[in-house]
Amino acid sequence: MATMPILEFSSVTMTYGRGRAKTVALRDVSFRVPEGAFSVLVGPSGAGKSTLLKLVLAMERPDEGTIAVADRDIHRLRKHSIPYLRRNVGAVFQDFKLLPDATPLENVSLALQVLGLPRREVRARASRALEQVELEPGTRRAVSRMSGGEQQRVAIARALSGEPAILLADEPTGNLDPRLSREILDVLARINARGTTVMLATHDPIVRESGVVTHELELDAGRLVSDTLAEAEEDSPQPLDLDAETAPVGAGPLPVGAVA
Amino acid sequence: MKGSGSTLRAAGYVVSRAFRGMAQAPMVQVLAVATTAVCMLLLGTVMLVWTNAQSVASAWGIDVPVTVYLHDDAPPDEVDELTRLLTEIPEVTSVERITPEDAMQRLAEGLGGEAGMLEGIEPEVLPASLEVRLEEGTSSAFVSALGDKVAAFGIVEDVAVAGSWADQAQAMLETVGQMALGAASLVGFACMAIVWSTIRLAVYARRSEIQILRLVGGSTQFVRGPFIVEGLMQGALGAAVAMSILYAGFDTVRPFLEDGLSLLFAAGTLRFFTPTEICMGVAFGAAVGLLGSRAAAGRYVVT
Repeated sequence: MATMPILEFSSVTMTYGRGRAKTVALRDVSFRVPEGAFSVLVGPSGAGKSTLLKLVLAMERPDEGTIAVADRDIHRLRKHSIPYLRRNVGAVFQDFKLLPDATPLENVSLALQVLGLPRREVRARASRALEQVELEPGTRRAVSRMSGGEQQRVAIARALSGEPAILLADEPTGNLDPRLSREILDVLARINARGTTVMLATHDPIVRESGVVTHELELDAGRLVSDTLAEAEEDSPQPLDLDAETAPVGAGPLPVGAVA
Repeated sequence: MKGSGSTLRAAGYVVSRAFRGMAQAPMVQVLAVATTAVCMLLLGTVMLVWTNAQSVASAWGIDVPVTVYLHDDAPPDEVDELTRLLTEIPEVTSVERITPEDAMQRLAEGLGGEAGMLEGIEPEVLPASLEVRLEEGTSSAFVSALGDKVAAFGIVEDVAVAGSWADQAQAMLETVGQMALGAASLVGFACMAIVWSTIRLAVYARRSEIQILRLVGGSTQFVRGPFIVEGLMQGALGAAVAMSILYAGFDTVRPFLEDGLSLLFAAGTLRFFTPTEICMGVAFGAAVGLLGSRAAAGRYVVT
């Protein structure tokens, strides 16, 4: 049985600017990300990777096409519903996007305060999320005094704290050395192993070579040039259609008595 | 119940974040509150002058062009008839009957702390009267002619007609009133501009936090709320500070004014704003702060 797609792009086109300044960021992009996948989005700078992630977070709107997260067309959502979408889609960025003077616990708690949870629950869930990325929840150090790898772990913990259906990561290893990149990749792999769908935009070769990736999408100048999952589906043998009316000539069931 | 609990917790976050935001830039807050207070002080002074000028004018009867004093034994049906005849005149806007008890009460209010002097005096020593108010711009000649005609009635003991000086005083009062309105508009805009620029600074300083809150699913109210509360506090605090300074100044100046201009204030004492008026002033400051902060945060702090 095929796995349900958690994310589906159908003929999505997205442009920035108008007139002569118009730039096509994505052109007729269609793909599916199955639930529980570890998808990686590759391509050169300017290929449209970040735009694609912004579309999933409803930070941009497509000119054409539909984007469905868990079967819901997110660009049909009313403006006041967008925050609720973002609570179900965790996001991690290359520049971490953390409050530099706050502790890891305070940073993670911020995402939970948005949900209006009681203080005790905020603390418990934030601590649990930090433990998941192997950070000490009780540390009083401000995140600005932490290493890049640790800061990225805090960002991942924050994205995970709301228990999102899908975790998006835009170049999460872009600012890190190879050793820290591997560490972050291990963290993401463990999160994925627990059932969270991960979609990661990168041009870090370490990610592609890691063996954790189950699905690769390649963008070039806004076009989807490769989708390993779609290609695998095309290559797999099609089941025989035994319906006599729709089956092609010569492929129908043998007439009764022909082998007699 | 869970929904209202989470709403309360979100409101708690918004208020506490607003206070933390204010504490992060105390000098900016002090400057904003002080500048707002100066503006509100200007408005408060004009309003206070207007309020007191009105009560002095009222005590002097400037606002009543024609007062008809009635004989003690005037039959009620004849008083009713005179009232009806006066009311039918197109220039007359109102005719108010003042009983001796009403007149005594007014006198007691006018004497303020000295009202004890009236103890033992029966209200009947004061005559009943009819206070006739006329349309704005009614000529002095018409007022005099009306006075003469009314004086001819048998039940009328005397008619007091405000002279041209009263017209001038009334006109001056109206000018002060217009000045108060103008000052309110100007001060309103000035305070809004002050709060707007302070909140814009705060939005700029906290832009990373705003971006993060949007990313993690903070609703517009959740992200914008602290800035709105901050602006509201600045406006309310500015107005409260202005009221306090104004009260201190008024309390200092009042004895000198009452002694030096005793003739002017003989019929009524100077007064500060009532508690309701003070609350309205602070609410005006809060509303102006709210509008200013909403305008500053509105465009930049959206989902």
